[in-house]
Amino acid sequence: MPGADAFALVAGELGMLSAARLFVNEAEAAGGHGAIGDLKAALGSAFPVLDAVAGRALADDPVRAPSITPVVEALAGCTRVLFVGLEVDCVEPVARALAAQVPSATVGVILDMNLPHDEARVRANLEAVGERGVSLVPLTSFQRFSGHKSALVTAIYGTDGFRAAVCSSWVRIFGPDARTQFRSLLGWNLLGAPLNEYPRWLSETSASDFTELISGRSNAEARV
Amino acid sequence: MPPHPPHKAHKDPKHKKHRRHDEVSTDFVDPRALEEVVAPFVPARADRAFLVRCLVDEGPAHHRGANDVLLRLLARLPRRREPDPSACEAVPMRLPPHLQDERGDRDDDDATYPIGLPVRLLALLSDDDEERRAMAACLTHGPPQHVLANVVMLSLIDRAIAEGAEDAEDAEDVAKAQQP
Repeated sequence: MPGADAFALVAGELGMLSAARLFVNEAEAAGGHGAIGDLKAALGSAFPVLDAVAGRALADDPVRAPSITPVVEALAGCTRVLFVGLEVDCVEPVARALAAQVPSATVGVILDMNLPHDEARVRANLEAVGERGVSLVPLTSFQRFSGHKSALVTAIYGTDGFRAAVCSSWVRIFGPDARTQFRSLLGWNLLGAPLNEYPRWLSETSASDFTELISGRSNAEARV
Repeated sequence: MPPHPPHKAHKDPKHKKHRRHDEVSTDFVDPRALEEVVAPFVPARADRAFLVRCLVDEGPAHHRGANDVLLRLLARLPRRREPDPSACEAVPMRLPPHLQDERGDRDDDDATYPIGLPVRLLALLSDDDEERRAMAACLTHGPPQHVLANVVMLSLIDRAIAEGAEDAEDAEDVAKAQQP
């Protein structure tokens, strides 16, 4: 499938949503809605987040960079934040905002091992974020971030209020032990509506896993 | 494989989404009331939410239900003195041992629960330091729903029993003074 490898690599190094926004923006710049439609037809069924982002662009309701305000509010008091799954559109601005509030705050990311990526390249990008940088954390060391001032944050790629599509690393981490080792378990609902395509690359979990579901669409829609 | 059909949003606010199948009913559990119970000991709202979640939303149902019953009843005891955080010991979260070294001293404060164990009360049971340390270890050992229930229970007892203890001591003093 032409373009699939390229998208998978970009998604692995930037995140599904961040990569989808990038590809859709480039397609629009190159050929408007026609090119977005071609992109959706070619890669949508293999990459459901790209399908959703392209669909929203075609409906003239583009997915914008998520508002970080409600997430930063929900993280108030946290000194250690671990993102499960990378979304640079989310991780980088939140890390900068936290660093401005709590200079000693530590931010880490667990990558989605399903997607191809060059770890050295990802690490170099993340280490350049803010003064303290963002560290890559191996899946087996996630409890390094635990504590009563700690939070786990993961992107939700669509939910119907019951099931939520998340990075598969979340279901490896999430369990009765982790639930009581972190103060907050935040789901950042980046797409709002459920995915139309089968959630390939992602895992489904219960929306009730989270201590808080936060809307990523805009400040006005804040918390759901 | 075709995509899943979307669920319809449930209109009944009492509907428990993805409810675990529990061996006993815990419908009586009142997390808001428990937040009020722990408020004097845990000032930060986010910390209270974490604590209450560990007490009545995690672990086996019979523990969650028992925690709710015992703590809400103990909260009805008379309030004879204010909580004193300086008279409490930190309660560790029991993280995996290999991570204690990795995290270093800087993280010690965060690797504890946001409520301390009021150890002064244990002096009523023993004058021996070692025994009191053993008592504290027993109270803070185990999964979070046990440990935190123990700590909140002791905090509520500590708040209630103080004057009684002083009264008892006074009574003993009086009795001694009255002895020929």
